[in-house]
Amino acid sequence: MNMGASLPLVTPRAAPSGPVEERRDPIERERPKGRMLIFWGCGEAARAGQPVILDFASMAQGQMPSGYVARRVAVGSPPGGRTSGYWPNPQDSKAVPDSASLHGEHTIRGNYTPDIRFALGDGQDFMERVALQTAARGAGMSVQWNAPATATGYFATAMGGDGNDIVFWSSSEVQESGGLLMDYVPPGEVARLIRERVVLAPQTTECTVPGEVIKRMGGAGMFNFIAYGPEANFGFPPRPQDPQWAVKVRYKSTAATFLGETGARGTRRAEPARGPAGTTGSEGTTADAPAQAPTPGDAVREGIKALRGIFGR
Amino acid sequence: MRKFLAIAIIAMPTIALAQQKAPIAQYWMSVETAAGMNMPGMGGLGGIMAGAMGGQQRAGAGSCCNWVRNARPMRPTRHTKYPPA
Repeated sequence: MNMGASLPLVTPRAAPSGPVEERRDPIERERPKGRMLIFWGCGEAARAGQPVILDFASMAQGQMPSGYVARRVAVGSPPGGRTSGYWPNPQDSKAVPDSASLHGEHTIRGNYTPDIRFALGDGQDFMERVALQTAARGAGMSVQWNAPATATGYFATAMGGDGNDIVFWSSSEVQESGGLLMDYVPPGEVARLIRERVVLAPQTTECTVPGEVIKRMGGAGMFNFIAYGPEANFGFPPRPQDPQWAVKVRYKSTAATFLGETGARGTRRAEPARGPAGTTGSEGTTADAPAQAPTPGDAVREGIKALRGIFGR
Repeated sequence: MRKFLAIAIIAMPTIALAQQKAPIAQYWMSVETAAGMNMPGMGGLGGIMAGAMGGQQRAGAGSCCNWVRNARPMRPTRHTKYPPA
């Protein structure tokens, strides 16, 4: 992987218990205001019955919108516990180089685990990069992408605002907030969500964000995309013997770009510069973007802050 | 393009789970290829909303070992290098 002889899996230290400090976040004490308009579905025109409107002030008082629908999604997560180790960690968090490959033999050794050995072959390396291309289509904005060879399905969201309302859109054909869908989802669950028309089939290479969504976003928004990948599972010894170890490798390929008037510029500058320590450079210092002008990203951040204020997360 | 890798390993006592024993050690690799202007925290928006509204849930998040049933049996090899060259 071009990352040295080994990667240390470090056990996290338990944080010392002490008095719980009062949260000083000013957002928590502010009375939330504003609305979120929720759209869904690919196409030049928004469907009938959209948008569903979430009023933050009402929600903060416990009044949830009646038209909001969300699904149960089995995403799974790595197990945790006292006898566990992780990478990256505070001792080692080096960036993964572009030249890194997972292809080949893997060995894991520890003083609290059995030796684990497995091999990753074809179709089990890093997924292909997703390249997004945007173009105006009627009043909407078409987004096209390449189809990574191992992709099992796709999901996209867009978010922006006009200064008053926050606008959220997802590529689902049926209403779905899709927050948990922007993460690893097992292939079986992706297949189910394709059948339910929530996730786009792996053959899909285009989706148009409706014109009304672009308009309500004030002409520009942030587009986030995920291509779900396969899983590789290994275990030893073979059944029916009791297992000694099990391995799961899961994959995804993600991309993001600006939509709308800034979309063309955003596509060209889609790769932010990296800082000397591998940190992502600021996107607000490009020559063609006034430093003081609000960007779609600002609207997204404001939306997240407002929601976190409401829900206390 | 950026590549991300997250690795987790856990050892657990052998306990009965749904009429089968859990593996002693579980090893997870989360492998991401990222392109474009990724926004930290974007993925959490829907999660925040879902968590508040109780509709969408991380089904299966607590059932860490069910997937082991489908794991492909594999015998150890003599190779010991990690990561692979």
